[in-house]
Amino acid sequence: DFSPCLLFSRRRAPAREREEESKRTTTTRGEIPRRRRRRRQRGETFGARAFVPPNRERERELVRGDPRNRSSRRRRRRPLILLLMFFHVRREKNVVLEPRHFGARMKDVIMEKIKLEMEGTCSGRYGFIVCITHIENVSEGIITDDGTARAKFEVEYDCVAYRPFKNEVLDAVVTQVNKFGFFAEAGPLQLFVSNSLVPDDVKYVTDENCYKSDDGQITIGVDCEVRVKIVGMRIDANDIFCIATIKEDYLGLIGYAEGDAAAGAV
Amino acid sequence: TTTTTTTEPEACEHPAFVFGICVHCGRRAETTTTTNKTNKTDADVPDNDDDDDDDKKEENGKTTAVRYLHEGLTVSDKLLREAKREERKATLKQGKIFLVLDLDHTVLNSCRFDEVNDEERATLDAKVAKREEEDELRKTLLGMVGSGNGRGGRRPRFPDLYRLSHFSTYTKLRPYVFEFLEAAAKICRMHVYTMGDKNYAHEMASLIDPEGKYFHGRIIGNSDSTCSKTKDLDIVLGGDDCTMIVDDTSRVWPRHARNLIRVDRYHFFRKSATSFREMEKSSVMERGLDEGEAEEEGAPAKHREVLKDVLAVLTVAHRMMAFSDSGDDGGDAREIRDHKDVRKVFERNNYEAREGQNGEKVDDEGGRDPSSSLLFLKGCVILPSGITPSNDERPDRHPLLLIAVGLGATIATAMNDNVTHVLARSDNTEKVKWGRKRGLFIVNGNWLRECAMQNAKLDEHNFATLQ
Repeated sequence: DFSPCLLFSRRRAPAREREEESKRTTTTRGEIPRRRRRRRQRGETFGARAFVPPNRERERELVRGDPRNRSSRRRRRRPLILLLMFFHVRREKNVVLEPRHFGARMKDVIMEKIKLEMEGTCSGRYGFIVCITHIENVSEGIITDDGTARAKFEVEYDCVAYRPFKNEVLDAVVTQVNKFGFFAEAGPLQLFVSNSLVPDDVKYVTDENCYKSDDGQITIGVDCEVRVKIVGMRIDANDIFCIATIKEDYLGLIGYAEGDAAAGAV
Repeated sequence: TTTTTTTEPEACEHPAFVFGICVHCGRRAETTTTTNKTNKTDADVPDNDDDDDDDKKEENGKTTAVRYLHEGLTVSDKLLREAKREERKATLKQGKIFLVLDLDHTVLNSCRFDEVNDEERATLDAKVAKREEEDELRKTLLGMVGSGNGRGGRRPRFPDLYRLSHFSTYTKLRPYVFEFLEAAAKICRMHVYTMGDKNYAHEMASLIDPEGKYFHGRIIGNSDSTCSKTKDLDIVLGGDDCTMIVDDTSRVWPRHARNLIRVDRYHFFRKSATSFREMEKSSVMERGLDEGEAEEEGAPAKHREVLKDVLAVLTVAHRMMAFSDSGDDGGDAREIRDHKDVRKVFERNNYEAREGQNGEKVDDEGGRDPSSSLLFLKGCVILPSGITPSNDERPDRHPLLLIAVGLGATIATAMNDNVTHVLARSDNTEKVKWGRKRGLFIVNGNWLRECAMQNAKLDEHNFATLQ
């Protein structure tokens, strides 16, 4: 379902990880200031400029120009974002527990509650919360003074967040096709690819409700897999919606629905 | 192939917006044009100018919300016009016209659980159970999907009666609806446009179209209209001049009265009849006889099957559209121009009147009238009696009268000397007696229907039986 994501758990190898991090933060433009590096280590920064793709070999392949040639290196415009939509984020939440849960299993109950409430939600800042990995710290409970004897806990927890970026390339599954474009889903994220951002030789066929290319090689219908590039995003407090394109090179159909012969032609 | 890596936001013409962002460049809708919302309250009948604004239709850059395709999708005028033009061309090329179908009281009748009293509920539940049992039996025997429609054997009493618990309604489909859809699908591209809400619309559409092959998601509910109290063809992807509308009220189509076929309301449930202030015991459940059913074998049906008449109207319209055979490939533009206006087919009254006035053959189709051979009822003057109720707003949109006009006849409004036929339903009206005295042809509605379906003028004596 989701593409593989490396989770650097902070408890496992802190020293080695910090070393790797510090190596990665040097860019051709100079070192990232310390303030930003700290936030990077906590996994809290986003944005094109703060990021350098960890895998520099892949970056070299994709960027124009010979990497050995210094003048072409200067010509690099902007770094490409590769596979960096998943983040391990530390967040805080206040959980209110009723007295019947006080006891040995209190931490478990808190974990359950947080899982129930936060998994599947979306915030504009962090993106979609996909999974709560573990509870880092639970504060001491403070009895609320509204007369119900409930206790309020401040919980710090780690979770995997999924947030898309502009110009990111990702794979999606088509959910609905209509005359003006098609809607697709990449996990919890909804995208729309408009008719104008589909290659000119691929047109909508009304009777079959799909997009077909003139030479018949490409048919994009419901449940097909496509590779899209995000062009615009709308970020609310509670929702993210993206506009994408398949008009560029290497984008487009990569697989048919399950059960059909997998003939991924691009 | 040229690939655009960045779309300049300034040059983008914002063809459509989804949830407020432009689908081409990603900019927000508010930053592109100045907001121009007006605060008009809902008028019952909007005026006839083109930019009808309402709180549902955005005036920002003049976009229209096409909500039935997907929630949040708004399309600019230019793109909508192009899309309509394309759909119209493609459909006409296939040899079909557009049909917009209403649901309530037109092809079905629904009643909530709390609107039936206890004894009715008992009867209805029994019938539903019986129908489901028969369906199961039929499915196992013949492998057929769908409710009883008389094909598999003896027609069960009140087939097509459904009980939907999740909507708390009973629904009864009008007789002949499945055959109508099957036949209409061959000559029309169909849409559903109802004043019910979206869930209800989809549920009912799945009842009449279980395989989803007639409508393909072209289902429009009340929240998808641009104006909340009326219906309009602006969000239907088709053309005004090749669309027929089937609806039981003409009030909801203020701008498209010329496309409308106004059918009589289908009242199955007692509550439905009383809420429309019909006569006592006029609902189907109370009188016991459905449309198209006869009291005893061999007798004519007491109430007409209205959907058969509608199908006849559509057949006439389709025939008159003069779809040319796919002989010439290069005449694409000429084909489109040659297609007639389906509204003019049913306004031949005016045509005849104009011809009479000038005394010469006035032809507004550019000198050709290839369908004049199809107007085999030319010269007939028909006086309807008891066909349309007296309080009808648009009596000329009744299916039988439309067939008559479409086949070249003229409709008379009073008893005068030109009348050649009297079209009646029951035997003892004044006009029928007058016609008999003068030796005119007395015909029932089946004459017009069969003339339309068989494309020939049939002998009136075969259709002279009235109730």
